[in-house]
Amino acid sequence: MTISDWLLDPSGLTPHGFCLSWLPGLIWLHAGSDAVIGLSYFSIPLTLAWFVRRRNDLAYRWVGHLFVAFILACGLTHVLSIMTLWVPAYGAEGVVKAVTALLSVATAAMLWPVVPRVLALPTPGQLSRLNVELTRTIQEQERTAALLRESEARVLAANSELERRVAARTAELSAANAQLTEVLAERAAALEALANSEAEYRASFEAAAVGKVQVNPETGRLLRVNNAFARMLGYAPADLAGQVDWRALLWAEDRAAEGVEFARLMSGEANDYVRELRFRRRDGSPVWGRVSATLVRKASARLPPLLLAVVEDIDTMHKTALALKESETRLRLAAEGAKLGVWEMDLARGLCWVDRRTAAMTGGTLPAETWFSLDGPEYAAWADWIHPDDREERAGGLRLLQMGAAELVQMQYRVRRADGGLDSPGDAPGDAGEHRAPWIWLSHRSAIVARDPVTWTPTRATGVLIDVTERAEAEAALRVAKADLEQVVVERTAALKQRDLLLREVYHRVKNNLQVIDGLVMMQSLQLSDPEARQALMGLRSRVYALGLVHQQLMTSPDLETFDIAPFLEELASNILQSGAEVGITLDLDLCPLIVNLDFAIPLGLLVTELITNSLKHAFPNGTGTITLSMRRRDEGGVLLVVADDGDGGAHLMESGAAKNGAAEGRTGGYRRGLGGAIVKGLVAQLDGTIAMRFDTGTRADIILPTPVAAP
Amino acid sequence: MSTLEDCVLVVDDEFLIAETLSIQIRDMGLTVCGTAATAADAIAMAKAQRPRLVLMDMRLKGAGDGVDAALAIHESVGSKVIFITASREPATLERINMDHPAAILYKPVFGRQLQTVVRDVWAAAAQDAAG
Repeated sequence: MTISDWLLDPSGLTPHGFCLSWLPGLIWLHAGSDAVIGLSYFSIPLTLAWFVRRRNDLAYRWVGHLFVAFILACGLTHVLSIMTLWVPAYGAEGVVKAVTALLSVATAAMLWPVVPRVLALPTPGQLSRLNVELTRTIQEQERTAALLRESEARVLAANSELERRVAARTAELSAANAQLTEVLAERAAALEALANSEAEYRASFEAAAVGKVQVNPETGRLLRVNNAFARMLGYAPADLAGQVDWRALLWAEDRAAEGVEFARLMSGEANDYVRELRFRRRDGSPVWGRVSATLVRKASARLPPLLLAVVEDIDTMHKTALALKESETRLRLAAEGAKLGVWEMDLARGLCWVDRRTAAMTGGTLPAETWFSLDGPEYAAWADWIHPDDREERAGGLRLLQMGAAELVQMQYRVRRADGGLDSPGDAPGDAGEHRAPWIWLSHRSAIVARDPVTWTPTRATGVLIDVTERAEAEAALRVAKADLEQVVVERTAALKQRDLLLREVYHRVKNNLQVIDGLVMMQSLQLSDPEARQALMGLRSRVYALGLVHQQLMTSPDLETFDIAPFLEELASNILQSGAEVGITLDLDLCPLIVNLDFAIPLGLLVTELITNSLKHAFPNGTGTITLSMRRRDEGGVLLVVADDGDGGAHLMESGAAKNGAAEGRTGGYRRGLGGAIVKGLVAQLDGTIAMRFDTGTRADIILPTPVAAP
Repeated sequence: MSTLEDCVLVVDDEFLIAETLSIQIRDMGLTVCGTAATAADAIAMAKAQRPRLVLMDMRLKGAGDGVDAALAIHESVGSKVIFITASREPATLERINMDHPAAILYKPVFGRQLQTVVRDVWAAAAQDAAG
């Protein structure tokens, strides 16, 4: 019997199915149940094995492995149970069962001692509690560590601060020490120098440019003064040293205040004494000096202390400072009075400063009285306030200044009105009248006030800003008014031209008519045989001629209204003489220029005509002689016109009539009767003048007339 | 230039003035060969009569003024011309001077003025003719 026979068919036994009578129901019940159990028993250890493999932290892993082995073995017994239904492999089945048994026993046996140990293992609940506790402990530990570190750092910091302080204090101490050493050395040197060269000291005292004084502080008496001090006060040193009290040299008003300070120095309360005060010059005028005084206590107590004072002449400086202050005040008043805004520009640092008025003009865009950056938002906002059309001009001007190309720039530009107005120039509505322009005009003058001494680029500029809106608007209004006026002038000129034309025409016609009248008179006279009648008509023609000549002169004058009467009188007189029959009569003329108008010229022309005609008619029986015509301005006002002849005064005419009344009484130059006399009297009256006739040497008429209005 | 007659032509559109001038010319012993009131008449009469002297008014009736007539007469006949004008305006004088007048008299012409001027011009004209 082979081993395989033993295993599969040990004794020719019948399969197990036989015992079940091959009843299919029983057979398949057994086979099915065993199959299910077997598969389950294969599945359980598989999962168990998987679990154990993954949980490699498990205690007693080998228990798991035992369970796997014995359950697998159990599963195998059930497979063999199915097999034995049809194959009598009872040997194999037994072997398997034996193995299973061994495994089971082993497992069972081993489990007993394990259980108490497994029970001793902590549960997950316990573990998590433990975990929480552990975490807390750890946190606490960390906190403690942090506190520890912190305090450590503090200690470190405190330590280094301490070290630093120690170092600083050490440095200070060593510096002070060095200084002290230096001072001591200096002092020693100075003392040495002082001791060694008293002569040198005296020389320096005497020759110093500043005033030096030694005073006995107890008596106040000047012990020594140098030249500079004496000169400052207008004395010679000998006048002061040992002669004068220190206080006597002070300006009275400063003396009292000075006394208090001086007392403090004397009492040792103050170590030095520095004051600016006035001295009284010899001539009584004040002079400002800066006094630096020290009280020197001599080492040997027997010697009295000594007051040493250095007196600088700060009169000019002081007065300059006063003048500067005054001029600043004046400037500020001027700026306020003129409503000037003030700018300052620090070009080197790119900063700008404006006063309150400028800030107000910019509508508060720029801050007042503080320095701000030219690149900052305030300045950019201000640039937006400027009229777009004017920005370029302003920027150009400022560029010139910043580059230093111009010492002074003047710009005029518009900025938005601070108290409102409209947003843009295009918005201006048609409702003029009440409407205010949305822009104001600013006049901006800036000048460079400081330059870099090396590169010569401008570092500082200052400027003033004036609101010139009113002026600009007034100028615009003026321009309009001027244009209107020019139009009026053009119209007036045209009207005047028209008037001139008319006047010329009138004068022309008047003259033509006078010529016609003259012709008529002449023709009439040709008809007359009576010489007296012809003479009368001749006189008429002279008068007509005078009228015509006035119009002729008027036509040549530029304004058609006035002319110089001198050439007129000359022409008139010459023509009257020419028209007379006599050729031996000469004319002596002495006429000043006199501008007259028609109303003055016509009566005067007629007057002269009458007088000359009369002379021609009566004065010269021999047909020879001189007629004098002169006109001059009188110093006491008015015009003196003289018409005279050197004839016989008409004496020859009166031989028969008035001889017995005496020559002087009867000589009337032919004026007693006739038209001529009446005309002369009437015309003089018309001219508001006076006439005086003299007949002693020839006939002489002195006519005084008021200066005509037209005469300049 | 052909010979001229010993007579005077008076040109003025005012009858009375022309007449007065004529009387004064005759008083001097000279002959008046006619009076004209327009430029055209003046030229025509001057051509017909060939006067040695013309007294010429500036303003005339109708088209053309004294200067127009004087220029034409000067050109075609060669008479001496004395202008007699009521105007002393520069424009008028400039125009008169275009003709290089023998003399200019201004209205009102008075007394011996005319005689003096006419005598001088006549003498010069006679000398020209003789020369």
